[in-house]
Parts: sequence; C-alpha cells; structure tokens
Amino acid sequence: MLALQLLFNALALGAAYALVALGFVLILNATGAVNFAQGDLVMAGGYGGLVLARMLPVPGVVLLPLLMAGMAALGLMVALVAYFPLRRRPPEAVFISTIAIGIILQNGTNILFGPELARTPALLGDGEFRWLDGVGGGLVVSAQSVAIIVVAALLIAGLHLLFSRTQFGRRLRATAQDREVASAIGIPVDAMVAATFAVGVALAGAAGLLLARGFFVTPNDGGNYMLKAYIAVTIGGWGSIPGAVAGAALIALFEVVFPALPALVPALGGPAFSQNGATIVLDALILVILVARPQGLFGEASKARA
Amino acid sequence: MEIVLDGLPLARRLTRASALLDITGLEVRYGGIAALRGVAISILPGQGVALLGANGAGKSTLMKAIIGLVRAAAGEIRFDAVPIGSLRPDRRARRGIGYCPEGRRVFPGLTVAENLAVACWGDVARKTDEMFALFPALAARRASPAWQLSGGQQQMLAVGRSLMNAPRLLLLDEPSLGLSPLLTDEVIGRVPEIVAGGTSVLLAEQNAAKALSVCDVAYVLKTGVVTAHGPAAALAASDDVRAAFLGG
Amino acid sequence: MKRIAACLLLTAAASAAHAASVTLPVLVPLTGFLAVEGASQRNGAILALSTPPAGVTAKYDVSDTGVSPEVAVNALERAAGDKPIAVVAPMLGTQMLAMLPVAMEQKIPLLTISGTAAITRQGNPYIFRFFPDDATTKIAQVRFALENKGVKKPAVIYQTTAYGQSGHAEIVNALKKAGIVPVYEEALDVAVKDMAPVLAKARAAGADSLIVHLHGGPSALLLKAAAASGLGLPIIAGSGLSQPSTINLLEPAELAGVCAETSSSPVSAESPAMQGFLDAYRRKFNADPDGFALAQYDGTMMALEAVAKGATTPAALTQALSSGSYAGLAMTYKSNGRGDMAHSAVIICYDGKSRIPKVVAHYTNAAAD
Repeated sequence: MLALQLLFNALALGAAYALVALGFVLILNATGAVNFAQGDLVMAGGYGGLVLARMLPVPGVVLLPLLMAGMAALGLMVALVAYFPLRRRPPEAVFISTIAIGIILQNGTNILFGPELARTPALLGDGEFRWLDGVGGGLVVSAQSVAIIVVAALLIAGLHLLFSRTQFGRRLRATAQDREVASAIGIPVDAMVAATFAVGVALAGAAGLLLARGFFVTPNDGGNYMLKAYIAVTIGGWGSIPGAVAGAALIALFEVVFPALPALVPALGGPAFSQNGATIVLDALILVILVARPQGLFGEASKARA
Repeated sequence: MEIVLDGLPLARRLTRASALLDITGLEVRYGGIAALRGVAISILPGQGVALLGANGAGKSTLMKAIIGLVRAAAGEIRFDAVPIGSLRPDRRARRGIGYCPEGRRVFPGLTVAENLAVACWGDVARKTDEMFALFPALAARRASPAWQLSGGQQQMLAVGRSLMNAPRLLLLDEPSLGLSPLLTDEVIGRVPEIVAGGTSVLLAEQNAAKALSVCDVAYVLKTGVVTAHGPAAALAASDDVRAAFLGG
Repeated sequence: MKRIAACLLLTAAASAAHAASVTLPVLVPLTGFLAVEGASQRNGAILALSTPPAGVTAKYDVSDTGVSPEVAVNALERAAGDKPIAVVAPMLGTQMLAMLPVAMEQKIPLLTISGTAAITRQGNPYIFRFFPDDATTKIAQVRFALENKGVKKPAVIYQTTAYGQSGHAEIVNALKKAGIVPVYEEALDVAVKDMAPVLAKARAAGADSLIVHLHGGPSALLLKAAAASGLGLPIIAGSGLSQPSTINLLEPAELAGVCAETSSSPVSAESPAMQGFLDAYRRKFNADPDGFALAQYDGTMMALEAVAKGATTPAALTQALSSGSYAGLAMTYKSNGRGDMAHSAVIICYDGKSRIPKVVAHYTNAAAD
C-alpha cells in the first residue's frame, strides 16, 4: 500500500516537473540557447496564479488558461528583451541575459509579494479520497494530486498534437531543427522563435500554478526548478521532448520512491537511501548515462544530426 | 545601331523587364574577402540555367545571396522586376523562390511527409501527392523520420521540399554531392520535367557535363567572377569550359 | 501598549536631562534565503526606533545586506561614516563574522539576533546578541519532548544547511545526556518537496515521535504530509515553524498536537505588554510578529533606554549593554560576559482549532556561561 502511495506521489510530482522540463527544452531547441530564467518563470507562474486568484475567486482549473495566456505574453517579452537583441552574439550572451531575467523576476516578486511562503488556490478543491484505511497506512489520494496528473497529461497530449498535427507545430519543430533552412523555405523563424518562448513560458506558468499549492512558492524557488529542468533534459537527451518527460519522471522517482525503499524492503538501508544519498545516486546515474550514452536516453535525432 | 535608353542598351532593358530573376553588380564579402564580385545573371521564365564552377568559386554563396541567407555588399537582385535585396529569406521564399541547399539539410526529426508539409502554403495533400509522383521512392517512406533515409532519398526529399510551394524559380545547390552516378541521374534528371512544369531552375553543379545536358543556358563562375555565359550547348562545346570542367 | 506608554512616561520624567539624538542604522538581509526572517528583524528594529524613550530621537536608514558577507561589510563601512551610536546587524552568521573586525576597528556596538554560536566566541566586546543560541533553544526542545511528551524513541529530522547542522548537533547532544539515541535521523535539503519517504522511514524505524529542526517551508510540508498520512506521532518542531506567515499556510487541523520551540511567541500575547507590542506591530506592518521581530525590538529598545539614561556615545553604550540588565517583553536580557544577552526559550503548542499557539513552557538555560 505504501509502495502504491509513493508511486502515486511520484507521478504527481513528476507530471509537474515534466511541464517545467518541457518548457525548457522547447526554448532550448528553438534557440540553441539555455533559458536560465525557466525556474524563475515557474516561480512567477505561482505568483501569477496568486494574483489571478485574488481577482477571481474561482477554482485553479479555471484560472489555468488565463494564467497560461498571461505567461505566454510574458514569454514574448522575455524573447524580445533577452533573446532577439542578442541572437547573433555567442550563446553565452543569452545565458547571461536570461539569468538577468531570472534575477529581475526574483527581486520583483520579492518586492511585490514579500519573501513569505505563499500558495495558489487548489485546481478543483482540497478534498481527498482515502482507501483501505488501516492497511499499511491506507492510500490517500488528494484531489489536487489527481488534478495535477490530469492537467499535466492533457497539456502534454495537447503539446504532442500541436507539434505533430498542425502546420504551426510542425514549423516550430522545423525551425528548432534547422533555423537557416526553415527561413529559406518560407518559415518566418523569428515569429516561430517568439511563439516557442510563449509556449515554453506558458508551460512554466502552468507548472508554477500546479506546484505552488501543495509545495508553496517563495521568490527564491526558481533555482531549484531550474536544476530539475536541466537534469531532466540531460538525462532524457539534450533537446528530446519525450526524453524531458522521462527525465522528469526519473527525478520524481528518485525524490519520492528511492529514498523510501528501506521502509518498503527492510533489508535495504544505509546512507545511499537517505534523501541526500538518493540525490547522490541520481547524480552518479547521470554521469553513467552521460558516459555510456552521451546523447541521453532519448537522443536519437540529435545523434543522427551530429 | 544600338538603341540606348537611360544608359542601358534596349536589348538589355527588354531582357531585364521580362526576366524572372535579374542580378546586377552583385558583391558579397565574408569579412574582408570578396566572395562574389560584379556578378550579373538573368534568368527567364521557364529557363533551366546551369551555374558551373570549381569548389569555392562562389556558387553556393550566389544561391544564398539570392534566397537571402547572406547579405549583398553591393548590387541589386530583382525578382519579377521587384528588388528583393532587403527582404528576409522567408519573404523571398514566399514570393516564389524555392531553395534546395547544398548538403540536403532535410529536417532530421520530421517525417518525410512533414518535411514536405512545412514548406507548403497551399493544398498540402495535393502538393505532397505531386512530389510522391515525381519521386516515387519517397512515397514508401512517407512516415519515416528523415534521418533514417539514404543520402539519395534525402536529396529527393530536399528537392521535393523546395518545390512544395510551387516556386517560379528553383535554386538547386549541388544536388549530386555525395550521390552515386545512378542517383545523380535520378535527381538531376528531374530538372527538365520541373522546367517543363513552368519553374525556372538555377542549378549549381560541379558535374558540368550533367548540368549542361539538362539546362538551356549556363554561367561559369571563377573565384567570384562570372567568366563566361551563353547557351548550354555552346558552352559545352567551348574549349575553355571543356578544359576547366569536362576533363579535356 | 499600556505598559509601553507607561514606560515612555516614566523614562520621559527620569531622563529629560539626557535629551539625545542618535543615529542607529539597520543593516539586515531583505533578499535571499533569509528574507522572511530579515524582514521580521527590520520590523522589530523599526518599531523600537520609531517609538524611542522620551528625550531620545533616533535616526535610521535601512540597508539590505542580501546574503553575501562583502555586501554586509560594505554596508557597515558606509554606515560608519554617519557616526552611529550602534548598528542593528544582520542575523546571518557568516555576515556577522565578516563584520566583527570592522566593528572592532570602528568601535561600533552591533545589535543582532544571529543564532550562530561562533559570533560571541571571538573575544569581540562590540557584539550583543539578543536571541538565545542553539544550545538554549534545542535544550528546551529536547527537555520538553522528554519531560512532557515522554519521548523514548525519537526520529530526528533536520536541514542540511548550517542552521540545521548546528541545531542537530545540539539536539543529539541533549538527547545523549538523557541516555537516548534517535532511532532514525535524516538530513533534508531545503528543496525536498515530498515528505512521504521520510515519514515512512521514521514509522518503519519504530519512532514514537518526531523531533524536527527544519526551516519554515519544509516544516510546513512535513506537517501537511504527516496529517495527510495520519502519522499520529507527537511532533516537536524547531523555531522554523513559529513564523506566522508559515502557520497561515496550514490548516489548524494539520497543526493539532504540534509543539515547537521558539525564543518567544508574540502572537500568543502572554502579557498585556506583549499584547501592546502585538497591536502596535500589526498596525504598523499589517503582519504578525515572530520571535525574531520581538527579540530585535527588545534589543534595540535596551540600547535606546541606555541612551536615554545618558549612554550617548558608542563607548558608553557598549559599557551599558555589557554590564546592565534589561527587562524586555520576551525575557530579561543580561550579558554573560561575551555578549550573549538572551538565555530563555519557550515551547508553544497548537490545539488544532486555532493558528494562535499557547505558550506551554518556559526554559531558561541555567548553564548559560
């Protein structure tokens, strides 16, 4: 029963991390530049949800599309301010400019909302379903966790349809794969890159709203989410979209299930299964993956290109 | 007697007015080095034009200057009598210039069908069927990601992609590069068919004999300068060209 | 408020002869990971500085020291130019350690609430700490766990940060003195989100209670997870939980039966004077004060009272603070000779119906040397 509970928790956390990683990898693919503001944009999404909730007393699931639209607009602004003026410079220039955006978001939210913990409204409600109470602690499934999984799954499925079934999505992918040729066959690449920023930041905002209920939000949270996205994308394959989702799931498993193994299997124990041990094991695993399979778990397309 | 109007011979003016693509005094620089100098080229509607020259002569640079991937330092490029030198590449493409880059450069993660679709602003299904008719080998692989195709199939896909928006001018940059003679025939052999369909073609090729055999007119580039131009048959017979490209 | 007003009247009468205008800059972390606590520190200082004893006028500028020692040192060197009588100095230990030599050179007393033990072990006569050190608070936490909750097999859960490590050492030490070894210990990174694994392991280890020493956010996550999983074990938390803004994120039911150590609990308003402070703080900052705010208020007030009594130079103030005793709102402050002024801690408990805790025990560290 505990195993089931932990797997469920990992699924909910991994679903939210997947949105963070997806937003990151989309922008990475379209620009070739790492958007170091992605974590802070997740944090900003949490506060955006907070502001909307103060204006409209409705469940989070109604606020979500509004928030994503607002975050998409913010994404366009990030592209205009931090990417387009520097796109002909070395990639480091965009690293620095997105780091600057992150610092602005961090200090801006600190001034506007203060440093205290805050939380967003629940997507549907705060109810929870309990099964089999008394059997090994029972299984507790909160409405919020279910809503996170469903919303993330719908967003990921929607993204998949956008990229595979629409001309717009296919052209976004073409732009990401070869910007020069894309422009030479008629695709307005600047508009595509701007649109990618909009989609990527909207996903970050959605993740922020989902995460900031159960796990709260403070202006300093960005760095941690940035790290998750970076690790997920490194594991899954630099630039791979299914890889980003798989990487996010793996991170969640290492945060939730791996450190609890001694409680499931009494024979297991020792420092490797402490919360810090789990992080070290995951980091070691990443090194192994990078050595044995530098393109990451899902990195086939990029391998063929190299 | 030659009639001169506004400083240009009338015959030349007439050509300019009716030309699909007209380039004059084109200069392109990479850093301080001139890659193209004083290039003038004219392509008429429905004309197949070969662009000959050794590796490094400036053929690819000229192609890129026409589509807009490199900037001209001087000179003018007119398409349909309209100057396009300041337009972005995608604007030029949408005006009716198809571009098939050197080295194929298909979108590796997109399927064959997707590679074709992204380049089309019209009836995607109809144009895709046309391309499969032109290159039947592609039809069987329509759902495969492009990186899984053989070199020849990738080249067919790249040509097909550049035709998807029904261009009036097709820029074909070294389509035979890395292909076996049989596949080269398969790809370059389609040029007359494409020209017959009303699309002018500018074909850059190191394989001069092959290029001359499918084109009406040819230009010869040497270190960034046009050193000869004329009817393909005449150039094929010229001693200079034979010495330079046709192995004697 | 009444008592404060009464104090003001009394001091006004007593010290009319010592009318003085002093400069007392406020250098505190307002951005970075200590921003919440730093804001409390600032508010406590400002409340004291804006209501000084009669006859005293206090001028102050507030500077953000962030989290880097360099910024704090620069801020102190800038402030030194204004001839301050003292400085409200940041609660971040690494910043304090960097600022101490500057204070020594400039002969400026530093009024702080940093809990880092080392800052009063440098032999520096200008440091005055108005917050109980970790030994005092953690001994209170462990004593309460043992004496009131009958804990025999505790699980100790702490943070990997310097704050967490230092507190963990004191907890284990205090347990050891009672002959108890934790059945389970785990250090958590501040980024840990899901507390289910930790709780599952504590339960599997047969723990009869959780002794927790985490920052505010992780403390709240742990309590939420414990409530959701129906853990049903006593939880004795650290001062990280006493932050009112953190408590507001928890449902009262999730707090049922939870206790925590803290330096003081102003929201519990144990006395009329404390109620006065609480009302004044809420009016001025539209927020609830925590133990940090009250400690810095008391410390700043002790300095201002000394000024009112004639200690109008940094040297005189240093002398007054190191030898005098002051009955503040939270406790009575007196230096142990090294600048440690605070020697008491309280235990607060939540009843499950309200977010306002009750103070259930006071502990004074008799061994404070």
